[in-house]
Amino acid sequence: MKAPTDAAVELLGLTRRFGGTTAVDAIDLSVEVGVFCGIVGPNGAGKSTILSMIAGLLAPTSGTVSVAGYDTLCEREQALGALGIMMEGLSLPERLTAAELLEYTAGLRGMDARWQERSADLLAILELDRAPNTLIVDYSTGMRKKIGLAVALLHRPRVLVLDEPFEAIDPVSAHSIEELLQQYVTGGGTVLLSSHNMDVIERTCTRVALLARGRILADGTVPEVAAGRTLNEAFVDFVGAAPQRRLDWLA
Amino acid sequence: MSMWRRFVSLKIRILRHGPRDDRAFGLIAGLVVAAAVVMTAVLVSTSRLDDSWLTAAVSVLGLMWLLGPILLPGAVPVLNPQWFRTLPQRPFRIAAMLTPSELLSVGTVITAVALSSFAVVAAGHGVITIIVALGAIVLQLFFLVWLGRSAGALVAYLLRSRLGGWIAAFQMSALLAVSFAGWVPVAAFFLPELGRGRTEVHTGAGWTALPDPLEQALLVAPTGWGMAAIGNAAASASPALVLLPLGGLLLVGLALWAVWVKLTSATLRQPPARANSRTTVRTTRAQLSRRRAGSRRTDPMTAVAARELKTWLRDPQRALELRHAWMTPLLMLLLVVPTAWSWSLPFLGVAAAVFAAMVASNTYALDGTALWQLLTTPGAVRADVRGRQLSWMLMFGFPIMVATMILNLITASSMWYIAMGATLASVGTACACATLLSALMPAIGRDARERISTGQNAGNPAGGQMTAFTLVLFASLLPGILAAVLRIGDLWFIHLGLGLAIGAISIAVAGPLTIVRLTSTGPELLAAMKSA
Repeated sequence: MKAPTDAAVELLGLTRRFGGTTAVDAIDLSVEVGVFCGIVGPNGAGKSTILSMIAGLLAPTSGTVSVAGYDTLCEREQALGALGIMMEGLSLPERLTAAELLEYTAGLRGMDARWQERSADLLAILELDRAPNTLIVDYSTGMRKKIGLAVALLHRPRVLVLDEPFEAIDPVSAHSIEELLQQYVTGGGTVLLSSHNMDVIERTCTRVALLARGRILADGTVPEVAAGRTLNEAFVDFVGAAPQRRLDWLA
Repeated sequence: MSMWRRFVSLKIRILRHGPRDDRAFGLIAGLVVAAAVVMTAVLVSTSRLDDSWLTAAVSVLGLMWLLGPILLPGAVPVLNPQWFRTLPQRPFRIAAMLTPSELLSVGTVITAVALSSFAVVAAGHGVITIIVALGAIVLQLFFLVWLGRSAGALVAYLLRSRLGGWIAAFQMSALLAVSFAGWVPVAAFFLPELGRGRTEVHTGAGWTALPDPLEQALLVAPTGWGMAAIGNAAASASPALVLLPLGGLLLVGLALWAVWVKLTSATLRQPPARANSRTTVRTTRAQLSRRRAGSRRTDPMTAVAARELKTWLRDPQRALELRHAWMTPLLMLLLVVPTAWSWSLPFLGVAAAVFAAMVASNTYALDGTALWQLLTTPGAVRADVRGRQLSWMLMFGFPIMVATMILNLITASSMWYIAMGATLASVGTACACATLLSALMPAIGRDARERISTGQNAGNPAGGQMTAFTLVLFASLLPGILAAVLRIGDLWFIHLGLGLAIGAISIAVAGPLTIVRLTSTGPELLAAMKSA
C-alpha cells in the first residue's frame, strides 16, 4: 500500500473543458494535512467543477488529483475511502429520516457498531434530533446542509470536500456547522470548501485560493491574500467590480 | 397583444423549440388511426359497412381522450398553469385566457382528421346533411378536447390528495386490467373447453352491424351525438331531432370547459410556498429500528434493500406504481375467475411479473441526483444493484411465486407446471430488467428532492416499460418453447428447471451489466439529472 504524503489534496495541471469552454485551466494546488482551506470565486469561476473532479464525479480533461496520497483515477477506491463529500444542489436518499439516512450510510460503508454513537452525536450537535419523524425531502435548506455534513463526517474521513456549505442558510445553522468543522480540523482533519461568503472564509479558513475564469489568481494564508484589506475587498480587486452607473428611472 | 394571444404564441414557440420526438411519433401513430376511421367512413358511404361501425370508431376515439390523462397521471401540460400564478390577474381570467392555447395540440389535429369522416358519410345525402356534418365535426371536436382536458385536470387535482391518489391508482389499474385481460371473458365464451384441450368454437350469427342495443347505447352517449345528428339529417327527421344532439354537444362541451377552467383556477390559486410531502415516520418505529440496527453490523446490500423498501412506500411516484403493480393483477383475477378459463389463473403470475418489472424500470431516475452518494462511496454501486434486486424480490418476486403456487393448488389446473415454469422465468427476468433498464434507459424527470406528490413530472419511462414488457413476456414463453422443441413438454420438472434456470441466469447476468453501466456512465447520468 502506498504511504500517505503530507498533502491531503494535490491538484497537478488540473484542466477541464466543456466543448470549447475551459472551466478549469491547468490548476496546481496542494493542501496540507490539517489545513482549513477555502476556494473562493465568482459564479462560473470553476469552484464546483474542481470539487466535482476531486470527488470523482467528473473526469479531468488532463492533469491529476490525489487525495491522501491516492490518485483518484488509479486508486479510486482508496481515495474515495479517505474522502467525505458534501455537494451543493444534489439529492440525498430523500424518503429517509436523518437517523435512517445515517444508518443507511453506515451500512453502505460497512461500518462497525460505532456508527450508532457517532450518529447520535452528530444528530444532537447539529440539532437534527429535533425532527426525528421528518423525511429529508421536507427539510429546510439549513437542515439539508447539516444532514449533508453529517453524512460526510460519519466515517471520520481524512479529507472533507464541501461545496458551498454556508450557502443560503441562517446564521445559527452556519454557526453549528462552523463549530463542527473547527473540531474536525483541530483533530487533524483537512477541509477543502468552496464559498461565496467571504466573512465565513475569513473567520474559519487558514488558507484561501482565489479563483476566477478557471485559474487561481491568488493562493496563500488569509492575511497574505487579503494583504491589509478585508478579504472581500481583495476579492473585488482581483476579480474586478461590475460596471456601475446611475439608473435615473430607479431614482 | 392580448393575453390569450401571448399564451398561444408561447405554446407555439414551445412546441416548435421543445423536444419533438414523442410528439412526432404520436402524430404519425394518431394519423394512422385517424386514416382508419376515415376509411371506415368511406366503406360506410359506399354501403359496404354498416354506419354503426363508424359510431363505434368515433366512440373509441372519445374513449382515448378520456383514458389518456388517466393512463398518464402526472403528465404536465405544455403550458403549465403554475407558471402564470403571479400574473396580476384573477385566476379565473388567466385560466379562461389559456383556453385557446389548450386547443393547440397533436390530439386536436388527429381528432379533426378522424372526424372529417362525418363529411365523408354525409357527402351522399344532400346539402343540409353536409352542413349538419360540418357543424357536428366542430362541436364533436369541441366536446372531445374539453373531455380530455377536464379529465386531465381532474386527475391532477385528485392526485394532490392521498385519497385521490388511491382513486387514480384504482382507475388506472382497472383500465390496465381490462386492457390486458378484458379479452379473456370473450375468448372463454367462444372457446369454453380450451382448458381441457378442446378447441370447438362457440359460433353465432356473424356481425355485419353492431347489435342494435349496443348501437343505441353508443348513440345515446355524447361521443355518438355527432353521428346521431347526421343520421337524423340524412333521414330527413324534424329539425329538432337534428339540432338536439348538436346543442347537447355544445352544452356538455361548455360544461366540461367550465370544469377545466375551475380546476385550472384552483391550480393557479395554490400557494407558491413549497408544500410538504405529508409523510411522517412514527417515532417509536424509527427508534426501535435504530436500536435493533445498533446491535449488529449491517452489510451494504441489506442497507440498500432496507432503503429501497422504505422508498417504495414513501416516494409518491413509487407508491403509486406499487399500487398499480399489485392492483392490476388482482383486478385481472376478478375478470378471469367467473369465466370458463379459471384454469388460466396461475398464468396471472406472469402478468404480475410484467407489471412489477414495468413499474420498477425507472428507479435510478426517480432517485435522481442521490446517485452521487453511490458514485463516491467505495463498493456502493455493486451493493446498490444487488440491494435493489433483493428488495424487488421481497416486494414482488417472492409474493408472485407464492401466489402462483396457491392459484395452482386452488384451480388444480392441468397446466400448473407450464404456469409455474413461465412464472419462474418471468420473475427472474423481471427482477433483472428492473434494475438494468433503470440504468440503461433512465427517463429523467424532476429531481427526487423536488418531488413531493404524484402530480409532478417524474419522467416518462414508456420506452423502458415497453422493453421490460417485451423481454419479460418473451422469457415467460421460453420454458414452454424449449420444452416443445426438445419434445419433453410433458415432463413437469423440465418446465420448472428451465424456468428456474432462465430466471437465475437473467439475474446473474443483469447484475454485473448494471454495475458496469453505472460505473462507466454514472457521472454522465448524474450530470444529466442535475441539469434536467
